[in-house]
Amino acid sequence: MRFEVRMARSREDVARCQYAIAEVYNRQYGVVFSEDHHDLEAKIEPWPHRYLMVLHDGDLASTVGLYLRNTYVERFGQVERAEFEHALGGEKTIEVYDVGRLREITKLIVKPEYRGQNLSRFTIGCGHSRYFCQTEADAPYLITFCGKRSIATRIYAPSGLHYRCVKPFPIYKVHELYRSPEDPMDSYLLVPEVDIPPRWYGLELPGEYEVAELLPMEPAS
Amino acid sequence: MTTRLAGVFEEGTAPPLTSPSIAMPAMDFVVQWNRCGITADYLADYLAYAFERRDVARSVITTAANELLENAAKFSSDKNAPVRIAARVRGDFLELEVENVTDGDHVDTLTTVLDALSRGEAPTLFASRIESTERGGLGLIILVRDYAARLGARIVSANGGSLDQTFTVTVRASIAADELEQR
Repeated sequence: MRFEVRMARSREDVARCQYAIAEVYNRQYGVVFSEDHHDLEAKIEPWPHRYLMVLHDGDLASTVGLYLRNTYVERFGQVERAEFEHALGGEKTIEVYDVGRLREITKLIVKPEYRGQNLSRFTIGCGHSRYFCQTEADAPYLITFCGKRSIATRIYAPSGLHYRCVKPFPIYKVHELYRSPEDPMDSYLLVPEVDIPPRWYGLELPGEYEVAELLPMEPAS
Repeated sequence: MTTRLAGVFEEGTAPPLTSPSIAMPAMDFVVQWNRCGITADYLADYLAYAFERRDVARSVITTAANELLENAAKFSSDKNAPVRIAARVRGDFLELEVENVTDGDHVDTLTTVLDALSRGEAPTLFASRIESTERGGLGLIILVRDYAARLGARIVSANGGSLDQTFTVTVRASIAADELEQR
């Protein structure tokens, strides 16, 4: 199946992504959203700043969001600068990247009628295209995400994305229906040109792609 | 289709001086939670003209309307179904009503809280909610405790007997004008 992949540009596109995300997150996790304020104890989440759309014949099949600033990991993950730098590793990487420049991939959903086609892996891969995750950037940002361990092992790793676990994510009420002791949440970091395979990082957007052509199975991260 | 009542759900006899109503899909609130507050503020601004101490009345109305709207949006089982809020100014008191579609679990919880409130148990319920991690109905309890609101609900089962039974619930808060104006 062939999909059109592009960033949501118009107000209508953004609304389509937000309603699709809200429907899934509210039904599964009881979460609501706001652009104006957030309260993780009241289960009110902040909206991402940008959205990637994966469309089939004009129908939104899946979407993923991007925080351009004030990432969830920074605001709620209680990650210290030194912990990000430790996750970066060698001095050379620390020299090139500033852990104060972070963007976060977030709120991945696949509409129920499009599930079972590897679209979650495809969409998360497309979300790491430089044309999306580095949009409006004057220099490369580090990419972060937080999620259940199973998201890292079952979606990121099979997509070929390498990830660095920074530290466990604190417990908040908003995640009571999402995480579990058996599947805890962590904060993660990706170094763009090191951890993101060229086929994803260089993926031209907007574009039309087959899921299978971009998703050869790779060893787990 | 069956109808039952919970709490104090009494019809006012005096004809309303004004009776505005607004309806919107529950999903609109999920997407922008501030819309609960915006809608409550709008209704409060609109209705405050009916009261002498407008600023005070506006503040109480927006608190009550926001509480009812947030409950309705949060517990709507079909987020594409509308949440309707209506108000009736009857001179010496105000009725605020919110209608939504919900499931049996929420109806059971709501009925328990409203019946307990109608028996004058607001102080006990408030203390128990504060001490427990369970916060369900806390806002409704505060409306009774702080504004002497009389709360009730009309519960209509839409598809009786089916496993995924849904209910159309109309929660009504009646608040005396003296309480609205904090006299």
